[in-house]
Amino acid sequence: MSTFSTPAILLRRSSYGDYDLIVTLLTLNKGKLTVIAKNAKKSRKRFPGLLELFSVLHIECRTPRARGMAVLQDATLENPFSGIRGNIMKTSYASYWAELVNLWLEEGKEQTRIYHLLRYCLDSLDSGIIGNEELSIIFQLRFLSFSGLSPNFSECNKCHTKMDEIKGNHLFFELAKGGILCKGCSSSSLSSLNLTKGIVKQLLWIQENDLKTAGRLKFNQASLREGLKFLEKFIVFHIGKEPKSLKFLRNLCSQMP
Amino acid sequence: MNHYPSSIRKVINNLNKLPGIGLKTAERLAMHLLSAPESEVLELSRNIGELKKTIRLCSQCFALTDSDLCRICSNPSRDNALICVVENQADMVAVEKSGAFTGVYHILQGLLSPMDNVGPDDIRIKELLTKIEKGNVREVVIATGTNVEGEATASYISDCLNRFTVNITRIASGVPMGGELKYVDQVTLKKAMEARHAL
Repeated sequence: MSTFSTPAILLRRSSYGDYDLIVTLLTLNKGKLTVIAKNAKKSRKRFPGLLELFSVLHIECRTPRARGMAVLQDATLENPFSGIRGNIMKTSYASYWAELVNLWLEEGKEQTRIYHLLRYCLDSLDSGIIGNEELSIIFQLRFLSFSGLSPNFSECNKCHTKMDEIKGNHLFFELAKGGILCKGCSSSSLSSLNLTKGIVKQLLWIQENDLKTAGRLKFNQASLREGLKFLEKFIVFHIGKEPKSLKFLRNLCSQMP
Repeated sequence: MNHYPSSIRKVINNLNKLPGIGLKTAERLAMHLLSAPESEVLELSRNIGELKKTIRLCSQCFALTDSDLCRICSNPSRDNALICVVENQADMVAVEKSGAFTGVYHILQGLLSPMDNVGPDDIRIKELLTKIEKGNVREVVIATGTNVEGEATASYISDCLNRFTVNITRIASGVPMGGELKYVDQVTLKKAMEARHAL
């Protein structure tokens, strides 16, 4: 039996029996990890107010000698993100990102860059220094890039003409191959989307700059909508299913008073 | 298990499906029912049958009741202009036990949960808005839990209620009675400190 400790972000929690919780975390040192928190529901002293969604914790776990789930021994709260918890829109965006990470990542594979990305985006969402939609664009683009699915915005996927040299204001984007196409190379495929050159340039700029610089980019409302719609379609196409929190987010955006 | 006759096996299997009851406990309960007086066993089975037939939701607050209005909604001494919004029946019972609330309740029958795609249409938020639209409501106390789902639901309800001329309040968070400070989480302590009052 061995123990280990690591910083972690709580992605999902579900009840296990009357007293225990099963908790999925994105850890800094061990990637995605699912652990059991025994007596977490029963005892008020065991993990008081700690095992909440998106909380940044420092956890200590015990791995069993035989096969089985690691047991959460102790947790210290580093950031509860009160600003996110008290706002339904922010909670929805954070839930979408956490669900994406949970759906996409394999258990036990170290994902330091995704950990830092999620931490940065949750910090910024909590403090409100960057708009929710802008942050979601940044998160999704970076996440795709770290997952090996970075969309190619720099040149036509077929004839390799540079994006700036492609004539016209509209480009095509092939979802399956993950890249833009010029008018001459595009075909009427079901998996292709129309994108304006303006949003392609903005997304490319985010891809090429670091997180802090990317956060300074200003979008107009039309570009925000176009960028979010494109990224959500691209992610759903490659994940193969629509995350529940994305459905929730779309419904909420259409219903918010 | 195979050593029992089939009628006992059926009862054991039925009891085993109940939450928190394992096979051994189910066997023990079945044996207890077998040795109990027939009238007691028949009364139990009759009551279980009645439960499904008579229990429904109160047409006002959505609490469990066996008539159209629950005991609280039909009580003329309760303040109908004061509504406490809770997640479920158990939360309503908890507030009621405190004896600190004299208004009526609105049970949401769930909380908003983005990760489970439980949206505003899946819980009874529309019914709350309809109730407030009709007027005669002075204050709405949002008493959902303080977990992420509870806080998010409170935030959504508060946004929806802003268009009405009604006082919107949230139950306070703080140090529990008899609790030791060292065991209280830092979020609760922070809120308790922010909401401190003069003595």
